[in-house]
Amino acid sequence: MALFMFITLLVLMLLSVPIAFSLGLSSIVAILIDGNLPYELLIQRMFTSIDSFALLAVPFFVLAGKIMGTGGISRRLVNLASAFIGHMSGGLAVVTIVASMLFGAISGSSAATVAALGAILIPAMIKKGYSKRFAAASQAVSGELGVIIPPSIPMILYGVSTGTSIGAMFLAGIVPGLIIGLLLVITVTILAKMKGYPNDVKTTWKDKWIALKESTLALLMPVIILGGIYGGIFTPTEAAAVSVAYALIVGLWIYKEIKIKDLLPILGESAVLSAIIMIIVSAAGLFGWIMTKGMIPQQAASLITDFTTSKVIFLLLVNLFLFFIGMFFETSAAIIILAPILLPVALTFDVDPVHFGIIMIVNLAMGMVTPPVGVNLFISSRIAGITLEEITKGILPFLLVLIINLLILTFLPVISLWLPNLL
Amino acid sequence: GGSSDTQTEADPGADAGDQGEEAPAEGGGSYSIDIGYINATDSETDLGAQKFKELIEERTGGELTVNIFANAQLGGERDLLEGMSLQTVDMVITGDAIFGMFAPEYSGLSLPFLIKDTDHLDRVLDGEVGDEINAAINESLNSRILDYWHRGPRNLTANTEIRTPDDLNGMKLRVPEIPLVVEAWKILGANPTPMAFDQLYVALEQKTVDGQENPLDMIYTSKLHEVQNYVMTTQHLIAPMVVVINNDTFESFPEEMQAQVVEAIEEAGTYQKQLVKENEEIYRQQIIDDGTTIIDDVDRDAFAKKLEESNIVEQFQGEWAPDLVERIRAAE
Amino acid sequence: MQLFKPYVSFMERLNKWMLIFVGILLGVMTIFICTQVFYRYALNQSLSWTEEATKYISIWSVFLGASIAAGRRELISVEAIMQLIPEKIEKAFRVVVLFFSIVFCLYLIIYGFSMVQEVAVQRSTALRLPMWIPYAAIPVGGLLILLNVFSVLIRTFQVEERGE
Ligand code: NA
Ligand code: NA
Repeated sequence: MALFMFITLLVLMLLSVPIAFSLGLSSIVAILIDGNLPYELLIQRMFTSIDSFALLAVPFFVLAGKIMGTGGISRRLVNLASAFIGHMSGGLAVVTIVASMLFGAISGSSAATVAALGAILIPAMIKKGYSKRFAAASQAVSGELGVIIPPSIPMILYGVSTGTSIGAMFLAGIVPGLIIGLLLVITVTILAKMKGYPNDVKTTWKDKWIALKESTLALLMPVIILGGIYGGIFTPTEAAAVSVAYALIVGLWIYKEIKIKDLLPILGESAVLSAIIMIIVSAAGLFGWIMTKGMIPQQAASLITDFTTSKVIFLLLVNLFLFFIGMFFETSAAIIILAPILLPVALTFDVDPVHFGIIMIVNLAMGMVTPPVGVNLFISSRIAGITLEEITKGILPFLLVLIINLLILTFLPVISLWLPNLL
Repeated sequence: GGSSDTQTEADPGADAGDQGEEAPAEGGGSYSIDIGYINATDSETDLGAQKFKELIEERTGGELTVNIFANAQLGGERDLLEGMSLQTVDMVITGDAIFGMFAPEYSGLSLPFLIKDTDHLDRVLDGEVGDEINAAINESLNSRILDYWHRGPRNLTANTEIRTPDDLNGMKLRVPEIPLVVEAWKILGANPTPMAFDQLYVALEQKTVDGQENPLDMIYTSKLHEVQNYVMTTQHLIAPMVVVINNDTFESFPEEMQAQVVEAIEEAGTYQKQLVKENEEIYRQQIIDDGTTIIDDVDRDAFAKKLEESNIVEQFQGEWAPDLVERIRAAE
Repeated sequence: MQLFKPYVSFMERLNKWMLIFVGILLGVMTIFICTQVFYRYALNQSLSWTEEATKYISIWSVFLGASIAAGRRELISVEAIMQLIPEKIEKAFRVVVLFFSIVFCLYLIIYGFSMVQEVAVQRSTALRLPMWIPYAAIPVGGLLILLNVFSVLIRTFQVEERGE
C-alpha cells in the first residue's frame, strides 16, 4: 500500500498535477487499496489538519508581509542599509543583503522578500553598472534570509507538523540567519571587487540619522513580534495578528502609503496566497495520517538505521536528499510532507528536533535558488529581464558558500541551539 | 479496521514492510483492533492498553491482533472519536471531553467539585446516568462504552498559594475551552484563559498565564510543575477514562471473542486503576523532590459551596438531561 | 467555443466577488485575534470563542481561496517537466492534469457532503456550533474548484483555437 501510494504521488506530481491534489489522489488510491478505510477519511483528515490555532500564523504573517511590501517600509529599509553601508566595497550588493536581513525580520516568506526589495534594488544595481546576472543573483540568494530569520512561514509549518515549539524555532533561526548574511556580505564584497563595481558615496551623519528615523517604526516590528512572544505577551499566532495591526497602523496613518481602498485587494490576495499554502498542509495531513496508520515512519527509521548507525553519515545523507528535493520542490510543501517522516528518524540518531528543523529549512531554502524550480530565481530573473540559465550562472559562486554554510550549521548544532537554550 | 472477511488483496506495499491492517501478524490473526488515544507512551492509559493487547492476543492465540497508536499519533480527542464512528480507528480511550462532544446532555459531569471521589463516580456511571450515556454514545458515535477506567483527579497549580476561592482573585488560569469549565472558574474568581495544551508549558514559563489545572500525572510528565511554585490538591474534577469501541467492529467478532474483549478490557482496567492509585503517590513524591510545594489544606468545601450557591447549574441545565445534577448528587 | 464565453466571464465575476469575500474573512480573523489579545491585557478578561471562530473562518477561507487560485492556475505544482516537453504535447498534458483535478474535486464534493451529514449532530467545543458548518467548507470549496477547473479547461482550448 505504501509503495503504491508513493508511486502515485510521484507520477501525479511529475505530471504537474497541483501538489495538494496529488497528495489527495494518492491518498484515495491508498484508501481504495486498503479496503477498510472509510471514504470520508479524506474529508475528515483534510479538515482536521488545518483545524489548528498555530497554523493561523501563516495567513497573518503573509498579510503582514504584504502590507509591509506596499506600505513604503521596504523602501525605507533599503535607504537605511544604503545610508550606513552603501559606501562599503560591493556597495549596493551589500545593501541588498543587509536590507534582506532587515526585511526578513518582518516578513515570513522569501518570495515576498525578493519581490519587495528586488523591485527597488535590482534596477538600482543595474543602473550602477552591475551585470544583470550578478544583480539578480545576489537578490535571489539573499531572499532566502526571509525564511531563516524569524518570523518564518516554513518554521511555523515545521512546528505544526512535528509538534516542535514554533517559538524555539524562531529563536534558533536568528544566529544562522546572521551568519549566512555575514558570509554573503563577504562573498559579494569579493565578487564586486573582482568585477570592479562601484561603491555608493559615503553619506553624512545627518543622512544616516534621517534614514534611521524614517525606518524606526519598521525596525520596531521584529521587536514587537519576538519581544511579544518571549515576553509572554502573546503566542506566535497572536504575534502574527498583532503585527498585521501594527503594519496597518504604520502604513495607513503614519507612512500614509496605503489607502483604505487598497486594503481589500491586499486582504484578498493574502487570503489566496495563504490558501495556496494551507491547502497543501491540509492534504499533506491526510497523506501523513495514512502513513502513520500504516506505520511507515517506523519502517523508514529502521530501514535507515539498518543502513547506517552513524549520525554523521545520516546527516550527510539527509542533506543530500533534501538538496535534491529542493531542486524540484517548493520549500513549504517539502517541509510539510517530509518533516513528519524524517524527524522520527532523526530522533533515533539523537538529533535535536529544533536543530533538525533548522537543517531542513536552511537546506530547502537553498532550493529556492537552485534550478529548475526556484521561486527566488523566477522572481529575480523576471525583474532583471534575464533568462533562468543566465541567473543560474550568477548563482553558482553563491551556492558554494551556501553549501559550506549548511555543513557548518549541520555539524555545529550549538549555532542553532544556543539562543533557544539560553532563554 | 477489524472486519473479519480479510480478503488479502494484492498488496505490493507488503515488501516495503507494510504492516497495515491487512497484513496478518505472525499468529495469522484475521481480526484486528486499532486503538488510539492522546496519552503519552508509558502513561497509565498506555500501559493499560498494552496490558489489553497482551491479554487478548494471548487468549485468542493471536487470532485478534491489537495495534496501538499512542500520543495523538492519529489525531486529537475529537478527531479520534469522529474517526471511530467512521471506522478510521476501532477503539478509543478518551477523557470526559467525550461527554461534551458526543453526549452533550451529560457534559454536566465535568462540573468542578460535583463528583466527590472515585466511588461516587463509579456509582454514577454504573447506574442510571451511565446507562443513559451509553445510549447517547451509541446513538451519536455508533459505538459502545466497554469500560470506564480511572485517571487521577485534576489539581490546581500556580505560583501563589491558593487555599480559598479568594486566593484565585483574577488569576489567569489556563483551562480547556469548554464553556462549563470556563464559567465555573470565572465564578470561583479566576480569569479563565482557554489555550491549547501544547502551548501551555511555554505560556506558564513566560507567564502568559499564571496557573493551570490537570491531574498529577499530566503535571509531572509534561513538567508543568517545573514552571509553577505550588500544586494544590483541590481534586476538583474526578473524571473517568472512557474506553469506547465501534459497534460494527465489535459485532464483526465472533461472540466468544466479544466476551474475551470485554473481559480483557476489564482486567486491563483493574490493572490501570491500580496503577493510577499507586502512581498518584509516586508522582506526588517526585513533584516534591523536584522542589515544588504541594498544598493539601485546601478549603475544598469553600470552593464547592461557592459553586453550589451560584447559578451555574441554572445556566446550563437547559442543555442537560433532566435532573442530571440532582441525580449525580444523590448517588454520593 | 463561443458557447462557453458567458461561462468563463461568469466565473471571472464570481471569482472577483469571492476574492472580496475571502479578503473580508481574513480581515475578520485579524480583528478576532487582536480583540482576544486586547481583552486579555487591557480588560484582564479572556475570550473563549475567538480561537475557535477564527480557526473555522480560516478553514472556509482556505477552500474558497484555493478555488480562486485554481482558476488562476496558481496552485503550487512541480512544473519541471512542463518546461522540458514540447509545446504540442503540453496541451495534452494540461488536459490530463485537469482530468485528475476534476476527479479529486468530485471526491471532495461527494464525500464532503456525506461527511457534512455525518457530523450534523456534533457541536463544537467553545461556540457549540453545529460541526457541519465548518465542514461544509470542503464540499462547497470542492464545487468552486471544479467550476474553476472547467473554466481553465475552456480557456486552454480557446487559446489553442486562437493560436492555430
Ligand atoms: Na523572516
Ligand atoms: Na530548486
